Amino acid sequence: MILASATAWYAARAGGILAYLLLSASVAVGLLLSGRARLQRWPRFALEDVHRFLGILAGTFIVIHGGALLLDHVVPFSLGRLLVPGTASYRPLAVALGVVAAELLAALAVTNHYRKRLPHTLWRRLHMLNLAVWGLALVHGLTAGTDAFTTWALVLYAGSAWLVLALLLLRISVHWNPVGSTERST
Amino acid sequence: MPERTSRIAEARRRAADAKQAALALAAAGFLAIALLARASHPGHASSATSTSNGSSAVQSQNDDGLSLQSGQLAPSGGSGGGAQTSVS
Repeated sequence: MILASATAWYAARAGGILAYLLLSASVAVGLLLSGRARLQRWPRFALEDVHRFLGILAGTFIVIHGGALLLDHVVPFSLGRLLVPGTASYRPLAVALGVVAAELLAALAVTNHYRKRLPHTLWRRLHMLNLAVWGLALVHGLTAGTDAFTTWALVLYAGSAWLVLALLLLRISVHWNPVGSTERST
Repeated sequence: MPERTSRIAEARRRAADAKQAALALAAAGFLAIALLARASHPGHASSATSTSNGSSAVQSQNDDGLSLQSGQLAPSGGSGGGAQTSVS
């Protein structure tokens, strides 16, 4: 029993960190796409395919993270406490950020599913909320994570945050300098 | 036209390879992070005990018996039997 619970505890921790890393990778590819990056060997549809797959994989590991927390006995979570933000007894605010991020991600996945039925501008604006999901997940990981301040976890968090923020800055600079971006892409 | 088709097919194959690599990396990463988590905070020499009023008290300690970071856990119901964990 203790062994199973310990396994669930490690799975919860690893699942959470991996979900964040996969989300970071998906956001990074998404920023490349939205910045109209031209990669000779990677046409847009191929990048979109990888972007979508990384998002699905991130969602899978979020489910593993939540499922393992349900099985774990150290921090007793009920399904209700996992789904309703702010009701967790362990670091309620930090956990609430993760719950909100996961639920927002699920809602955005639904909008992706109905993408063709939504006006493109609306879908695009909603899709940008994935950046908020990523930010919430980062803060959740740093404030609720058991391993957040170990060296290896800090390297993972800092590396992925640096990558996403660098691509975001690049994306913003392209947005404000469209002439330059056209020159770059041709 | 055939050249264009082959370039599209090549891009499709590249995307499929990238997805397979991502899946393999995720599986390997999951195991690696779980092992790192175990090494950094074994955490779970846990003992769960039941108190007389039915609530449970869970105590978790690092292997060396030191608390890592403490957080108070209230029981899901009832007034007594507060649970204390020292996960960090």
